[in-house]
Amino acid sequence: MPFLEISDLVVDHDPRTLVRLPVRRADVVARLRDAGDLRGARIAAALPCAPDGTLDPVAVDRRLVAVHTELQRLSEELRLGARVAEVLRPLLAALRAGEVAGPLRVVDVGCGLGYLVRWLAASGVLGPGVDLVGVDFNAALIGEADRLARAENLDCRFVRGDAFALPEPATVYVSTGVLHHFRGPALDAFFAAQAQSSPLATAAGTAATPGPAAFCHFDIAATRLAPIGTWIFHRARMRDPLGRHDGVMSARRTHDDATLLKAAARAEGLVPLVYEPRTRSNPFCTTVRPVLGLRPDLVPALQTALDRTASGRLTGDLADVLARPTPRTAR
Amino acid sequence: MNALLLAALALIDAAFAGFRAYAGRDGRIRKSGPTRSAALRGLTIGALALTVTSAFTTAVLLLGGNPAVRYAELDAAAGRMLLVHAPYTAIVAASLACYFWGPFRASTLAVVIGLGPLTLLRPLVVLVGAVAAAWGSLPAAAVAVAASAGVLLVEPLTHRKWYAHPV
Repeated sequence: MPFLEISDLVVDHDPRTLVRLPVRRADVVARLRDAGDLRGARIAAALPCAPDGTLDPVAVDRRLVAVHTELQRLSEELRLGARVAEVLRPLLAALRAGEVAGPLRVVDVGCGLGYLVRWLAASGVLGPGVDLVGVDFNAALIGEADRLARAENLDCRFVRGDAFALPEPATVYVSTGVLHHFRGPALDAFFAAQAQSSPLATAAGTAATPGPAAFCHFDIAATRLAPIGTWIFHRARMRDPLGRHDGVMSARRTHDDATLLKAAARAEGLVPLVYEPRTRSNPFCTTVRPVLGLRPDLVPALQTALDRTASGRLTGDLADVLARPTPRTAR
Repeated sequence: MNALLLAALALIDAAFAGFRAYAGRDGRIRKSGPTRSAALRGLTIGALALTVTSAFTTAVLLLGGNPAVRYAELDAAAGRMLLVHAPYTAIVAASLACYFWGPFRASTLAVVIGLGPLTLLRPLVVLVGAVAAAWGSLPAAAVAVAASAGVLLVEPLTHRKWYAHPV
């Protein structure tokens, strides 16, 4: 049976025009019931709706913003920004040493409230000359992300729409907690799509191959600890039952390292790698880990930019991520 | 002495409860000021709860026969409560030290096996502390119930008063 997140079901839009489409509460409840998720169905059934049975969009948006604000607390407590920066800084150092021209543009795909982008902007950890952009389909979340960024005068921006069809090309695509929303062919398509996004110019001014120079997508590490750990953490830290429900579901839906490595190989022209796979990390210390893709010429530069310990956490070897972790290899 | 230690613990706990009441309500990145303010608000509610508990304890002490005997009875109960709270406090303090001063992998460890589960366990620890204090003494039971209720009410009251909606 599929694991569904309520927040994925309560908002819909036309993918071409981005116009919001009405969502019938009964349909959401039925989908959750069909998935055997009676608790989720009860939560959805309590959402306010109009007399015609469609969910009240204002109430839904308010609820989603509140849930994502609570969710940000988890990112703060788990120091998600520092964790992403540990990989992103050397990645950008490798790009600066290479032949990527112009400002480096980091695009956060499915940014939600834009916590990562805003944290990177506030901390300045990536150094100057980095254009930070958050992209999401959800208008309410993008609006709130923009409001929060302006409230703190942060040097970053937010765009509603398709991250892989931006007028300005991305140097690096990043995301946090997005990958588990895609299953099977959709996951392959996610990686393939970014490889076909707008091409970057090279230092010589010529158009290069399509796609970014790299991507770095973080998601919940698929460990045995993840479901129970996520339950405890969401129970302890989140108040909204919708947020608790979706948090636990997201841990159940998360992909293992091998699945991500295979899917990342769909991004043509980019070498797939996993940082801190299950075989090379301690599940108590690594709650999220990224799958990366980067142009072949950047791989040695990244390994150089990472320090020796960090470089040892990086692998593109499928046999390696499929190996059973042992106390000697677990770090 | 036992009562003073418990009062100090209750006030520290109230400051953390204030922080928890605020956490998850403010999407900004830089918020050390609002965080301090939330802790102070928790502390204020905690101090009010402690004042009520102290007044109640004083009444129990003075209105029940020999004050010296009643004091010894309540002090022994406070000691039993401390025996429950002290190990919990020590583990929380160690987790916090690891969280604040360790590298971020150690801080994740502190959250995953320490701070997260400990927050869930907190009401249970308060309950066990109250049962231990109440054991064999009706006046101590009354004071323990009042004190424990005060401790557990700080977070929801702070949340309801100041953080019912996102900041």
